[in-house]
Amino acid sequence: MGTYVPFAGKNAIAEMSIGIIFQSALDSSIGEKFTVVRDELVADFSKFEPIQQFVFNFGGSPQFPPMLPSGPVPQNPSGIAFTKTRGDGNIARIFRILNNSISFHIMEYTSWSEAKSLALDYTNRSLTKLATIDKNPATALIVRYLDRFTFDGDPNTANAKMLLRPGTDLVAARIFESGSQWHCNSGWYQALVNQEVALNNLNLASALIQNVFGVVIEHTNLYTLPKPCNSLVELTHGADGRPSLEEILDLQHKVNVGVLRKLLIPDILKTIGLEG
Amino acid sequence: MYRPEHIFPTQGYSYVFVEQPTSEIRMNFPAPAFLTEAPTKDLFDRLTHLSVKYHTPFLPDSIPPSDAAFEDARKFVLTLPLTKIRNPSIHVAADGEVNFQWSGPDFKIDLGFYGNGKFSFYAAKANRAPVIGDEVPVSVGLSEDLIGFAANY
Repeated sequence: MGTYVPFAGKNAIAEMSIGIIFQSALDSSIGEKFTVVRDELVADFSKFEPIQQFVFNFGGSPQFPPMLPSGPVPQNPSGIAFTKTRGDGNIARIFRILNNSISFHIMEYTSWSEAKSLALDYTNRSLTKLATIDKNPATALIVRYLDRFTFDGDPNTANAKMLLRPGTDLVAARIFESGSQWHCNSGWYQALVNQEVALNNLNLASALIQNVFGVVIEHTNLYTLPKPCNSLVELTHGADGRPSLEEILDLQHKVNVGVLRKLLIPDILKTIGLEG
Repeated sequence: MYRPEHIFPTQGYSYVFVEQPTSEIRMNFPAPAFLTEAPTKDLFDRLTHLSVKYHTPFLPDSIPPSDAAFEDARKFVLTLPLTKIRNPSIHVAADGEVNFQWSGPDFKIDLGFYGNGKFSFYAAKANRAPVIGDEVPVSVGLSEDLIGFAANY
């Protein structure tokens, strides 16, 4: 008889991401402000890389016709990734500006308050330097958690009941009879700010990864702002009844906590500090 | 219709194509390090290996660690922030101790379990007075101060 355990001691969170989506791509802004943004944030990260992106479409679907890059290679980068690595060389944090999004990814998550504080700081400083929000408004906010549990024991005895609450309405009942290999993907809208809804995506997968059986739980909360926000001050502090950026992120985080509390068995909740 | 400006990338695990109205299409990439590392499982496997290997006295007059000592060690592992600190090396001692040890260029943490639900430790770091603890409940884990010793070395 085995048991599921958080993949890294008391930490089940393998990655937490906070992102802001803008109405259109930030590419041209990055080209012009690359050096300025790099100089603003480079002290907080060990590595920065310009990102040059190419788009390939595969398959014969009429909606997604095969496409190869065409035209000259762009001279300006289409994004920037700032990376902080741990002593062992693995990635601890990434702050990325790419396409129409700014996102912060933390792989050594210890608390929501720390992660949120870092994300708000980097976002605020980069948006101030980019100075594009008046022309390219923010349209949506994303908070994503990726939790991972590994199975300690004979994989033949692994069962979703050892990790997930039987009877939870967040997963298909069939997975509880599917042993160690299954997946379940779902999405739903749920009120987030007043009566405005946010989209939740919940993707669970149980599989063998590098000789270790485990379950990955990815939950994303995507909140589309009621109207595009073209002011950094209004985004940060709120306006017209819309809460501040920090308050909305707090609400999105609470949705994730609620999802995990409905999803995981009490013993696991206790181990990861979400008991009660 | 797919529009590349609507990609919201994760650290490397997958890409999400965000559309209006909101929906998503996922496209998986090879798993990055944080999906392949399993520090808890690695430590549990090491403890299982030691508990089997040293189930009986392994030296004259030695005392093998009790099952309770290994169980305390497992519980202790689940208090550690292993995304922030590296895995300790684990050994057993002839007096029945299950021993955890971290050592880096300027620090050392040494702690042991005997199966009474508690642990004792000795920690030293350059330019700091040594820190000693005794009879600390396993569920309490390491203090933030000591975790700071071993973080990101």
